Amino acid sequence: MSDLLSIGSSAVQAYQAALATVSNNIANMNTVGYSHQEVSLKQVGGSGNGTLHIGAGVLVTGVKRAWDQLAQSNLLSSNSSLNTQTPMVKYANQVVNVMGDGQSGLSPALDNFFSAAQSLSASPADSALRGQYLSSAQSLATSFRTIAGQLVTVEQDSRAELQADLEQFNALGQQLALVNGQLSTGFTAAAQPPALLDERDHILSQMSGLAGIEVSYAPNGMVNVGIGHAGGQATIVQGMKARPIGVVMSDTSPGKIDFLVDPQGSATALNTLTSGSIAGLAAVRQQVLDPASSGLDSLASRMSSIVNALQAGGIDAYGEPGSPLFGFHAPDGHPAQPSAAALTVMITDPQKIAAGALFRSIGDPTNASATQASVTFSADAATPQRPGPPPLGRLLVNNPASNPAVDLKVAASGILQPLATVPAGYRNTSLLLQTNPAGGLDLRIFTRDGTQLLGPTLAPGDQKALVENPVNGFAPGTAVPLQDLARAAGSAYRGLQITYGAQATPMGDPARATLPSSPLPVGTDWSVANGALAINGTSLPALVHTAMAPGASGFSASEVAQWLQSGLRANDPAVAVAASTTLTLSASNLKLTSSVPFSLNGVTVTPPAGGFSSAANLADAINGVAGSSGVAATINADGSLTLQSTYDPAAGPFSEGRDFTIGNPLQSSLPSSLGMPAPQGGTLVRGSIRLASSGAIAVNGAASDLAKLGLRAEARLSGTVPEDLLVFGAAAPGANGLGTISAAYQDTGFDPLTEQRSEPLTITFTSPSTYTITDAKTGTLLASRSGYSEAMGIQYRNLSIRFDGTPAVGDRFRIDGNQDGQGDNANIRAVAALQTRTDLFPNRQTVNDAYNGIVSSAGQVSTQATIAQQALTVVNNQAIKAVDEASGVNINTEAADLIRFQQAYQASAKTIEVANQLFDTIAQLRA
Amino acid sequence: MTLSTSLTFSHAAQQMRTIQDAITRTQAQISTGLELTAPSDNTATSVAITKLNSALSRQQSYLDTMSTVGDQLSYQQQAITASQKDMNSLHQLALQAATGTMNPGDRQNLASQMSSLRADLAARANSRDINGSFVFSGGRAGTAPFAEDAGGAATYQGDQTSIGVAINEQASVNVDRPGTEVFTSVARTAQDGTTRQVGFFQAIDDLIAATKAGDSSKITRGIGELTALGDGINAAQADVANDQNVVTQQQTLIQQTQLQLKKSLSALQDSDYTTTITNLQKESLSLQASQQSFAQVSQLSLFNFLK
Repeated sequence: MSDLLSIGSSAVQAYQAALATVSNNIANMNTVGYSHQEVSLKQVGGSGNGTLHIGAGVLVTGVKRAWDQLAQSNLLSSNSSLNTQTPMVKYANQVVNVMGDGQSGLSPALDNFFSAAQSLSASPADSALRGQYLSSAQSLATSFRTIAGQLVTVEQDSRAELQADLEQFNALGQQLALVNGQLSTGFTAAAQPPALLDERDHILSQMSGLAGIEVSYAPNGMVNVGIGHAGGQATIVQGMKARPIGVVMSDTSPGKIDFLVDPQGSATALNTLTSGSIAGLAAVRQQVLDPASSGLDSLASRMSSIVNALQAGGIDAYGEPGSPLFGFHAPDGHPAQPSAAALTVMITDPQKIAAGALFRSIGDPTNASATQASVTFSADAATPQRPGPPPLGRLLVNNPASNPAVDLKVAASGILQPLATVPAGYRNTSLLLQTNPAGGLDLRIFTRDGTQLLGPTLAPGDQKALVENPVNGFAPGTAVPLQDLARAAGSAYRGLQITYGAQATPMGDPARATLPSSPLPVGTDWSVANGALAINGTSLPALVHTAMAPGASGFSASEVAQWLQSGLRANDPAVAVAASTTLTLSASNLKLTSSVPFSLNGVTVTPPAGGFSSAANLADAINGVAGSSGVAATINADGSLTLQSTYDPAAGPFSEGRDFTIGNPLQSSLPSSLGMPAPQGGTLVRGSIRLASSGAIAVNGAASDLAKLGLRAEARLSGTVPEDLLVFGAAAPGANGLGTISAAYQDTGFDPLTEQRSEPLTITFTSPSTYTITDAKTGTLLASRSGYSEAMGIQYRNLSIRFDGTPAVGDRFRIDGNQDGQGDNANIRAVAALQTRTDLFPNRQTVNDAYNGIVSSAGQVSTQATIAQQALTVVNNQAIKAVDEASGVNINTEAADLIRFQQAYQASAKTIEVANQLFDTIAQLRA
Repeated sequence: MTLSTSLTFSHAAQQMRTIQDAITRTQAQISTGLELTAPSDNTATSVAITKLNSALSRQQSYLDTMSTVGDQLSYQQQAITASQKDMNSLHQLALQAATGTMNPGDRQNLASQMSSLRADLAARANSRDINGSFVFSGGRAGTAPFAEDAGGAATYQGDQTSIGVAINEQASVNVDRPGTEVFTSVARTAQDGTTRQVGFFQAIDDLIAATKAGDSSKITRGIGELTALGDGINAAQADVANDQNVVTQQQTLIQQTQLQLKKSLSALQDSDYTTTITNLQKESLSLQASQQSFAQVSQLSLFNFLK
């Protein structure tokens, strides 16, 4: 028979536990993360007797925690998704509000700046308006800096939030590892303390808000946490071990963010972080902050360079080209990289605002027509319509050592062949031309407008062909006959001193110029015409071959020196002439062991048997017969042997310059003591001449005539070349056109603007279609051109000049640098017009639209994130409800349970009472 | 579906908070009169507003410019009108001088009257604006255009820079007028048949000298020249009047454009009071209902009935 009392007591105990559980549910009604609990009751089987089985009461088997894993994991993932959007909305809105504000945004500052430019354009001399423009520029720079500064604040906030989120995530990971440790002692989840599991789930829920996590549950309730899906997963919590996440952020580029797992230990890159607030922060930095700040920076730098370029293209109130208006400086005043945060205004004096144009035209008040001219300067227009030959620097390296090195061949047609352009700005340019009498080569130099600066005058018929050939580089319409300065005394052009010929300037102490020649060329039949050469302006008489030179080898140095001496002495210039004939054989070339004899001027020198014992012995042997041969030998410090013609009083002055011949008396094919075997008839050694003076020496004449004296022709342009010069080569018909050329120059760079502003020009119309351009200061004729048309206007160097009507013959226009044009507004108008220009900023936008585009992009991210946030909030609410349904505490349910269990408890207590009464009944019976 | 008590409460609170936020925003719309309380409310609208404001600001700057241009044109107009009077008087005097019945004293008298007119003309030609810039010297605003040299001759010292000012996105007007366009030169044929241009003041100086000397052929020549010079001034006056008309018309046009822009701006940026106040009432009602229902629902607990 069942024990009524024990059944009652088991029930009382069970319902007490049930009531306690309900009480606990009520108590934790508002506890975050608490899961509803209920007791599990189990009936106790009693003793069986036949077919009669009476239960033995009830037993509490455990407290069950209401939990739904699916609902829980849905909650975690929806948490992550929703929290991704939250920072995106927050920070994108901040960026939009910073940049798009109607008062403090950039747009009003830009409007203000352009309005001030527009106002100034109506009255450019008004210093109050200049001040207003300058202060609007300062406001614009301040606006750029302020917005950049606010973006930095947003950047710093998002950075701090990201770091705080990461720290929290890492702390949660560690807590989870501790919870895992406590759970590790149990075998089943059901047996684990519910509070511990609640804590676990609460931690997971918090973690999922920060980063999208994947959770795997062990049977005993322990969890492992990873980031990313299977395949690319990084484990964050595994059992009792947590690995922290670290971040590396760039100081300069907000979008550059690298996450690392276990940064202090075995760091590995984490690139699977796609949801949660940390991922949202990274995304907003990449998608909003980075483009906003870099867009603002590039706008600042573009704006600055455009305005500065305009500023440089105009004149300020002092008549000077404008200096940069904007610059980039750090707060400490040091120059900085271009960025919005560093944009500063560099000008403090309103008069330095370049409002006017760089050039202007002034029609002469007495012009018969009312035609006016407008002038534009373009630094890019340095390439003229007809560029002509390539720049000198590209053809010939600067070679101050002056050894003509580059072979030159000019067609021997008499037609000028373009060689090089000497660009404006080259200083002390010198071209060295070495040719020979048969070469017939000569140089000519012209300006692009056809003024000949150097070289023999061209026949009028050839001039037209020259200037009209487009490859020659002359300005179109250049009129002939050409102006020839080459023949004018002094030969100066716009400050450039021009000389052509062989020349030397005094050097050293005592100051003395020497002009050495190379050995005279072996010629067949040449002579120098009367007056073809001049030394320091003194014309030389003719040197006629038939009169003085026997044989076919031309003149010897000795003969040339005598001729020079006679010609000079007659005119008494202070130039000394010397001649010498030498041949130096290097020590390694000598064949001292040779026994082959050689001859000098026909006098044979025979080596002793076995050859000469030393170079000195060889020299002694040569000097032994010097009296009859006229050739002496000396041994130099380096062991080389020099042969030279000796002075012979009988042969007269300059006899050191006589030719000598090295012969091969036995016609041996083996080398003699002097080295290689001499050819049949011997080797002719020719002399050279040297001119010396205490002052400068200049030998003028055609290059081929100079070559007869062994001299090189030098085209020397002393000073700075003020405009492009064209260099031509020509060879006389019948000549071979061969030579070598080299150049020396200093490329100092050239500012065409400064040059042109300092040189006012006068354009005078000499007929309806012809005009001249002269230097207004000196009256130097610069160009004389034909073929003027109103459609084409005038292009001169970097200037383009256009006329609004037909100029009358005799009309004059002065073109100058507008130094006193304070009333001119051409440049500030261009600044005002920037506001509506769409060709200066990317995507054919105006500057305002380029800025608005940045705001719009940030706004789009914000809008998208807001929409996503709304949708995900609904999903999240569903997930919360689902979890709540499984695990939440409802007060009404608990109240009902409370009554239910209370009644059960009371009933159970009654059974004990009944049992007691039954017992008493039985006890009374016995009694 | 059973929800936990705490979630029910927090939902109710959340809903009331949402309505409260909406009320705050609507109140801001009413108090500021603006549709958007912050650019992030609607970036696209906000950017459109910014663009309209830029356009308005540009139109305003055109309008400001035109007022400056108008002032400049007035200066020119004044000087030209005064010069016309001088020229007429000069013409009268020259005709008197040409009658030939003058005695030398009368001619001297005429010449000195002419000289004072010439001095007045020079003063007009060298007029300055309020900033002290010369009105008729082109870009050389600081240079008197017809300053007399040591010999008393006044040749043009300005330049021909034409100072255009934008008055809308496409068009511009010239704000300056080089002196040679008003005080023109005149062609004079010498006895040898060659023609050369003679400056404005030179022609007048020559006429005065001829009057003094009683050189009737030169006086006659001078009268012809005066007519040509007067034509130049008249033409300049017509030009100025034309420019003034352009400016006035353009001002009207821009004011119309501004009105249009302001309308568009108002449509975007100003809050519609009728809608906004209706919204506020709707939201207030909704909040009250939420609050009352919450008060009711929160009383509904089984415990209240277990007594």
